[in-house]
Amino acid sequence: MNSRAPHSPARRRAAWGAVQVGRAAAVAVGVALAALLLVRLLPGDAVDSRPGGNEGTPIPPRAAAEARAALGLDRPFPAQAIAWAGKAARGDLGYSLADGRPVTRRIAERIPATLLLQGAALSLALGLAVPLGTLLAWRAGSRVDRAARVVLLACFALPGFWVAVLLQGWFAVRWGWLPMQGMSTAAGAGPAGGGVGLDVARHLLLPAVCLALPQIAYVARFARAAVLEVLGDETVRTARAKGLSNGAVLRRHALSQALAPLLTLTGMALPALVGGSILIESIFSWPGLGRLFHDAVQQRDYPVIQALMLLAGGATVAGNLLANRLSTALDPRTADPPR
Amino acid sequence: MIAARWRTLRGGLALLAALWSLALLAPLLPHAPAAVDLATGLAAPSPRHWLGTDPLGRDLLARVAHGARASLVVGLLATLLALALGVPLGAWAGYRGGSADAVVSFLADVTLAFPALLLALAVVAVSGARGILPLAAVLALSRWARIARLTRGEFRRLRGREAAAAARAAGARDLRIVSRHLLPEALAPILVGAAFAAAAAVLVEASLGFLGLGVAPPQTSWGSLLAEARLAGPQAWWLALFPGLAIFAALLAYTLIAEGILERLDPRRQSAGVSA
Amino acid sequence: MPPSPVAGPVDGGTVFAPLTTDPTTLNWVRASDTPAAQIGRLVGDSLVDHGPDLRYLPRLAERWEISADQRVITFHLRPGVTWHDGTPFTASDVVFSYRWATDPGNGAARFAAYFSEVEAVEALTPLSVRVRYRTPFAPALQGWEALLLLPAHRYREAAPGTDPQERSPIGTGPFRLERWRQGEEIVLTANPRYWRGRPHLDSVVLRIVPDNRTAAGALAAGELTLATLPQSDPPPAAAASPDGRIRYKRFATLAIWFIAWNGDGSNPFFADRRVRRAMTLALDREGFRRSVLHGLGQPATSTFVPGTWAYDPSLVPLPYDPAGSARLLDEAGWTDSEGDGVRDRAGRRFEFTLTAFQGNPIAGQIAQVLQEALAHEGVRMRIETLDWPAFVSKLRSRRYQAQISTWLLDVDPDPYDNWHSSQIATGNNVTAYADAEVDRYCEAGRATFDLAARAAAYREVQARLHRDQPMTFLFHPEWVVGVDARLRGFRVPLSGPWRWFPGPLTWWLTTARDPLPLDAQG
Repeated sequence: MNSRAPHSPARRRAAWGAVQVGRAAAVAVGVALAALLLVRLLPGDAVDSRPGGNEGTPIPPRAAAEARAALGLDRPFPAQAIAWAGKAARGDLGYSLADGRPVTRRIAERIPATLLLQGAALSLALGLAVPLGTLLAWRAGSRVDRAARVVLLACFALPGFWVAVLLQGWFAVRWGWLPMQGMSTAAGAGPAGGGVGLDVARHLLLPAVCLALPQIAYVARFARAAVLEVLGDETVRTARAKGLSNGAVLRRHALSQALAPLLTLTGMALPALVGGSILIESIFSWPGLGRLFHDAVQQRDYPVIQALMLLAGGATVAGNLLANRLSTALDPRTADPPR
Repeated sequence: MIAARWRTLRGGLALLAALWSLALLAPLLPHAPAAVDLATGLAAPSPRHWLGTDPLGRDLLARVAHGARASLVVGLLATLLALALGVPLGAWAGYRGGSADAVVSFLADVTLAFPALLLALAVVAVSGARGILPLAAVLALSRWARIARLTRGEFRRLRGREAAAAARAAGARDLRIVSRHLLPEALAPILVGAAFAAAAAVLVEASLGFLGLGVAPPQTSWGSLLAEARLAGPQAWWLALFPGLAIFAALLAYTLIAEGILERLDPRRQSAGVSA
Repeated sequence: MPPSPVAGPVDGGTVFAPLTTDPTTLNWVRASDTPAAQIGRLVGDSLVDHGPDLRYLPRLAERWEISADQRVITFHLRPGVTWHDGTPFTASDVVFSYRWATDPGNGAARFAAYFSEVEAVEALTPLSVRVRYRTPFAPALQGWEALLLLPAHRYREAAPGTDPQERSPIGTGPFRLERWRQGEEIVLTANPRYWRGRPHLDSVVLRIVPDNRTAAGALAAGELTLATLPQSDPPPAAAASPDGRIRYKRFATLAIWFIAWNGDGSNPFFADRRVRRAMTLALDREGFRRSVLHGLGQPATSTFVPGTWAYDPSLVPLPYDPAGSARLLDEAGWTDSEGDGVRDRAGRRFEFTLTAFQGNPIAGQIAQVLQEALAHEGVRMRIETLDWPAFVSKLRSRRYQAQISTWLLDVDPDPYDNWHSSQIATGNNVTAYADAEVDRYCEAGRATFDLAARAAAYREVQARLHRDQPMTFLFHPEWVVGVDARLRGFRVPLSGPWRWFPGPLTWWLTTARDPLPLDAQG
């Protein structure tokens, strides 16, 4: 049977891949509509009911009219949706009601900070949890394993923002070992020496740890399960039967195959970019997307809320698709459509 | 061995029961949660106030106990709502497949695309929902989709099973097949999902309360108690410790229950936990 | 240990100060938020300013004359002043600023009130401006103290519809704007050509620090030079920290905390004076001030601030009297006729909503204390917390029943905007208070420049406000500022450390830590 026959495995896989992409696109459209709808469902006119800004600074009439037009509050919903989509495709997401600047600019300046924080937390989590999970899988059933799993379970249930409040209270406010907020100190004002990098690192430590804690537990358990699954696998058993040492088995087969689900996990980190660190960023005044969202909610800054929801939804869809494609590439067995 | 398998589940249930009794017995406590006593503001734990007082002199134990009512009730309601919506939709999608599946999956995917806290914050900001029922509804918005997806998966898996095929061959109606034959099989995983959903609901509710968007005074919730603690500063360590401990206990209880059921189902099916 | 000899001011150094939030705009005329005002006072200049005793002092206007009929003020401008870009400052800038501020399309609402009585503003010569008022208007100078001037030439060159002062303003002030990093900091550097001489400091960096506790922590860590301590913390017992690095100063501000009762008849409760007095008697304001605020803050009897020339010290705040409160409510007809624990009258239960700003924890605490106190008296109060825009809008449009808020008060104590009945519809009379005698006294106080006569009129106003309790006047907030011991020349008048001129102009830094308490400084 040549590979161009209608029901060959390759054809099937390609078709399934196309279906996945198509589905993702449909969901993306749904996400955009949902974000739009949310703002539209407000009681009353969003722009009218707010004088805007801090302590009663009125929105200048020009910005108010622009905001209303940008939110499409003066048009029927379908026309509004199309207009908004067109603008969004061009990168124009409207103007923030809080300070009148383009929404895209406000979002863009916050992305690096969030990337830094989430990246640090993820690195911390992966760096600690993967070896831990692997070790536990290797020693599955032992007392150490059981005890560690209890601890991990507790960590998993730990509310991140509680830990943040406690740690900030002790380490920053009470004892002053670490900075309390922000991403960096004004040049020359902080403890001397070390430069910008060290300064940012000191500010990064507490928020990254608080963000990483529940992730460590999650990833460790995930890694443990994945490695366990693989250890019971055919190829590994064969390798063992062939007389390969434990270490070699572990390295060569188990890890590489457990890598796939872990990469899936990393793909899932994308959606967390917008919504995953709202609380931590607020507590530590970290100038990232999470804090931007929180501020926008406090200020009822609807264009920003809408744009961030779109971004979050889009990131999830992209992340899922990416995870799917990655795992397909790494382990072709998952490329087959479900029966 | 069997005893060990039950231990997790029992532990979780016991912890949950303890928290619920605290909530239910709250009115019996010697102090009222809103009783202001300006003279004894910020008092450390003592025989008179077991967990100390807040800046307005209100007893912390009473506030945590009453806060339990809001947090636990909202969590429970949200989970029930999510189940009521998610299980039927997921079952229908999983069993029927085809267009039903496409529609439900699409709706679920769109809902799940938004991180839970983000969605809850946006909806609360836009709608101004502050009461227990509206909040529960908001929390259920995210939860239903996960439950639905879980249920769908289970029903798809069970659809091809022998018993179902036999029943269908015998001419039984769909609803009967679903409720009599498939549901009991799928029950355990759904309960696991429900337990994780309850944990997530409590966490999101606490987060909303922490950000000042939860229930309104005089009603308290653990999240808003933590926010008050943060304002009062780290000297009043009791203010931050006990409400947080309560949230932790609730999350732990639900997680233990979920893990317990999972263990019971299949000891090797140790998942990392359905993501909250 | 004897204090080390304090050398004269030296130039150089940077002061790091906190800002609670990013200003919405740096156009200091349009903005009315505190951060914009702080920056405006450093980068911009006004014609007139006030000294530590709140009397007016010359600034960009060297001197001014008030005509015999008290209707014309002629300002003579200081020669040789230039904008930060080198363009000379002239009278046309003054005229332009006035026109821009009073143009409703620009959204600078408060200047409409300040300049409501102005008939004409014209430049007589490049260095003199004549302002003609419709009637003798005593608070006239307040407007010229509040109006920080805009550079006319910049607006002429700017594209239509844009505001060149929005993000990167220039002024004639002691500092110029160097950099604004949103969400992080605003950097101001010294203006070497300032007409009063270069500031001692090289730069002032305003860092965005969202709450006072964080700022206090940063001060302790040496990241900030000064910071206001959180109101809910106990004030430090000593004038300096144990290691001598930080000195503390307690200061009052021109502000008032209040609970406004909407008396416009839209609710059946607060149009009755007895009910309003009952509300005040029910709240233990003094207890709250002493315990939660640790004694910071001064009891208030009205919107006139203790220590100012118009304040009447003979008025005593209403006591905390729950029994008296209950009696007044009975008198007003609110009794528990149904026996359900809630007072009612003519079939309507006494349930109302108090609106608070969600970002203000002190307000929330006061609200909860009041809620509890009223619950004991059979009045059910609901607390509604709103975000800032909704909160301000609700107060201004009078859609509230009761609202707890704070006002910053002007240097001039003119009560017209807040208490005259003509200001109910469009002005700042948010409680819909209308009393014919108070109206007369407000008008009288405005019509003469004679301070004694004004003070007498305002004493009458205060007495009536105290009697009628259109608001429950809570207190005038006091703060404790922590200042790095290396900062010299720091003084805090009644208007706060930032509103006062010259303020930061005369601050200077030294390497040695000065053990002298702040009060003992010259």
